[in-house]
Amino acid sequence: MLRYFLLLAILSNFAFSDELTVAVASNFVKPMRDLSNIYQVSTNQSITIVSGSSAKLMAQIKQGAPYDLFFSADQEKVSKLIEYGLADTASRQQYAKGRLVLWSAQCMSQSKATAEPSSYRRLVNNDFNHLAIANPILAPYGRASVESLKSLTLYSNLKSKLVYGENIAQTYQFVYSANSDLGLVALSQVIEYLSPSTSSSTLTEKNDSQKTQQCGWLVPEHLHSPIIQEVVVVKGKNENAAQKFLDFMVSDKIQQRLLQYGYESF
Amino acid sequence: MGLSEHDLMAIFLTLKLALLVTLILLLIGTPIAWWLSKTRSFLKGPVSALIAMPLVLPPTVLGFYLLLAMGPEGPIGQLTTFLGLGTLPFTFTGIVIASVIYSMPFVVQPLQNGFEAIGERPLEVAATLRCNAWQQFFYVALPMAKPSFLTASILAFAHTLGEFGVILMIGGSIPGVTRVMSVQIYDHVEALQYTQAHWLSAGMLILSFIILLLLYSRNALVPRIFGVKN
Repeated sequence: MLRYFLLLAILSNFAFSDELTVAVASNFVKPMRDLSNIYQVSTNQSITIVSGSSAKLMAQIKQGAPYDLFFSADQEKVSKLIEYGLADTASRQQYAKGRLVLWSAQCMSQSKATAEPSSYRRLVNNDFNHLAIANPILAPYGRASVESLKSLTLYSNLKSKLVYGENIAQTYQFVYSANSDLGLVALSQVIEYLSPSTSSSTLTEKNDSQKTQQCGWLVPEHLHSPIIQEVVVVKGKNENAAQKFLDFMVSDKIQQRLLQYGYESF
Repeated sequence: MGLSEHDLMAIFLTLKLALLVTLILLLIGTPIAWWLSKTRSFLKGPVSALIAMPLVLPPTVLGFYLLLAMGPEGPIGQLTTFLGLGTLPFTFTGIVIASVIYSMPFVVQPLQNGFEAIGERPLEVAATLRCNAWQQFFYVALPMAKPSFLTASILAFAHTLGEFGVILMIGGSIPGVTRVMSVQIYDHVEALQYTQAHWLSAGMLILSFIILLLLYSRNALVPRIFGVKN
């Protein structure tokens, strides 16, 4: 019996030593799950995903969290990690460009979507109770949300109606549960509700008449600074394996696939 | 001073929440505790278990179900919308109700123990002196259970101060409305604003110690301050 436990302990130790732990900004969790599965099947490399707001993950790495890769939702936090000496500049890469969508619970059922006034019209007409955004200090999507509202000169009027999710996943959850009637979320979170013809790169900025008919509204990119998402290898014992997975994620094949997840590729 | 305007708002909000929740809990908890201490009904077990649930449940479970129940599709949400109150998540009323549920056992249990410790005899004596049930409660039971009320109030206040998970899930972190101290500290830490996090955390630490000191040195200190006899 004891021998069996010893064997188990040794085996599990082996399993741990070449397991990759990947810290992922909440907006990118869905594609990461799928894509890391593909990678795990083809390479036998086991991958554990940890998600949260970019700021939280960075703070955790700073305090010695055992993450091998950091998929941030911006460039700034990657720069900071390098500044702290916790990551290597050479491994730094852009892996995706995110988009913001104004969304409401109604947008999830297509039948209601046409009957209800569009989210955009409700936002502009101040016809809603709460607008959920991600915490602008912690989540890059939150910062882009505030920038967009300021560009639309709606921010000061709507400020009292803002509800803050700790990360973009909680923000989406507030909208999904209909507790907040409107929310600014990542396109990647709602892409499955959009018809194939409007999804990803083909969902371009609409003119005003189209804007008022659609339930969800893709926030035009010129309203906020671009959400350029960067990844970096965190210094540690798994740097080689981490670099391989990073190379896989920025490969042409995977970058092509990011379109269907609601990202623009590099 | 390292405290921003938002920090001060969070402190004020937290104290307001804790005070209000304590008052409401004393009003609701007293009759429940009284009933539990007197009843022989088969409901005693289920009601006690229900009230003690927040002691065992992770706050996330409570937060999750409250979010669903108080949302537009949930039973509480539909009731409040029907009454013209709108939905409760992201409102101060919402976190007050959540906190009342969450801290309920900390009030009911000490009170129930207090009432049970009095026993039947003092009330029976009062009855022979023609006290009706209300008079028995207000002139005999209440004064005799005074230390329990003190314990219950301190525990309710302290437990609400330390609340985090439930409020994080249903509050929406709105400054001055639902962003309490614990959430504000969490945000500061995540944003690596350690100086501000230190100010608030140290404040919480000292405040909590004073409150617990009051509770545990009750026998020595509190009677002198509040004139309570133990």
